[in-house]
Amino acid sequence: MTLLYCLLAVLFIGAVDDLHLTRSALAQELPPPQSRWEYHLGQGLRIGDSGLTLGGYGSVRYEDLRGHGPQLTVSALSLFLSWETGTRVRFFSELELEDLTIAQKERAFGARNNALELERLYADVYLSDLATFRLGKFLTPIGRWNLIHADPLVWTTSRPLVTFRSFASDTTGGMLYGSFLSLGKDLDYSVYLEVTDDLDPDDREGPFSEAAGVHLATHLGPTELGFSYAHFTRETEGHKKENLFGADFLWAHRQVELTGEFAYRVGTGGANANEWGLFVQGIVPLSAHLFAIGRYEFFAARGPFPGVQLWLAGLAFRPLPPIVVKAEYSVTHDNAAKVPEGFATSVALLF
Amino acid sequence: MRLLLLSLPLLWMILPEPLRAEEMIAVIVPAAALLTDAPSREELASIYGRKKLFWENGARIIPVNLPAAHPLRRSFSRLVLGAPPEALAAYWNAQYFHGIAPPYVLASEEAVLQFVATTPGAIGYVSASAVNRQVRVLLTLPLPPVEKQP
Repeated sequence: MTLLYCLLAVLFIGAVDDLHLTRSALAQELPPPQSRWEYHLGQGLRIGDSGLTLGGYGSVRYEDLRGHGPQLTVSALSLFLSWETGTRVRFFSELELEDLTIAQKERAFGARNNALELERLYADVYLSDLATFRLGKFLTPIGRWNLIHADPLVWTTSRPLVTFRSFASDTTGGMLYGSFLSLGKDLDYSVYLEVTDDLDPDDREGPFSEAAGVHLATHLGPTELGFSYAHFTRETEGHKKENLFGADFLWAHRQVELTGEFAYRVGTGGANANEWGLFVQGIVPLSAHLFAIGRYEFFAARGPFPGVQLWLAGLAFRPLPPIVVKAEYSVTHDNAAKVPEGFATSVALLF
Repeated sequence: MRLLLLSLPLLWMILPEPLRAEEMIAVIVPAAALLTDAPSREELASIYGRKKLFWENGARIIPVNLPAAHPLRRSFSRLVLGAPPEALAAYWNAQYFHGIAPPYVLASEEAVLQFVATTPGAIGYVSASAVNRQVRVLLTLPLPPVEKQP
């Protein structure tokens, strides 16, 4: 019944989709900075002309997953602070509160797994048009999803397993990145090295102990292709050396989008130490602001169990670029790994 | 004189399109800007995508846009960035997630001219016919055919 209500709610919102939202309502319309403080939805609070901007994103999620009771969660509340110094150096930080349970079937207004975490903290030094050096804690450039994993930027409430299970989502160290023309095509590159995990006191996500990797991406017409390689060890995996090979793509035409990622992690200790997965996701516009989503996933975790398959169908309503309302239903096959499946809906906002 | 006046529309019709000043987009910088090379279209895309941040002389680049609904902005966006402004919303959302702000937006061509003329490092675009002596034209771009409104 809950499922029906939520789907009806999304469909209703879609039906009143013809709100004639003007193009000037686009989030990226910012005048030059003034001496006074200014707030722009989806672009944060500009602290006068100091170059400082305070912003972030938040999302609230309702889930009714098989084997779990229904629950309402503040799935993310993130604060950004960026500083454009006017020189070749730029600073950025993100502080995140994750998974604060508001209500569950058995109890209300509790808290579960919530932790305040320094998600990112880095300085960018712009060396030239070809290269920028990043120092600090940053998102690991493996695939596409991990680099834009914020709820308002992605189409589904749940995240494909292959985009976070096989590697640490962040790295603390140095990274050289940029883009250049090669064979007439834009080639974006990132080369990184983990030097410490001291900025990761809370290691529940299994940070890298040592890591080095590269991500390359290029544009072929409407298609973006990416390749990842990483060599790393993780404390949670007994400091064993691992190699990860990955590929990702995005094809977009008008508002239709097809995206996918693949990753193969080679562990030490035989075939059962390997892990691999992939997902393919399609987006089709139903109207100017309402989209249908379909996704197929496969993930074979290390160990003797067969891989899990997951199908997902959902809807997303974007009344404005910084706001998205999502509803989805997923089912699994061969779910020995007990991957969550069922209904999920969320509201996410860049603020 | 009357003959000359009568022949003007004919002259307009036979002029090749690139020569019609009001159908060209002029990419402008301050008149005093010390720039030797005009950027290529790819470099312009990097500038307006906030990837290229500094001029060759070391000055910080400050790109400015017209409002998303302005016909010139829509033409410039399609010509240089390959998509209309609304199609780039996801790109700018992702850039915001990484702490990068889009180019500033000014309300009119007059405001762009004024801002570019008085701001070192600025770059903007206006109709070629609107250009004045306070700015320098770095390059001109042909105005693409008028798009169909969705």
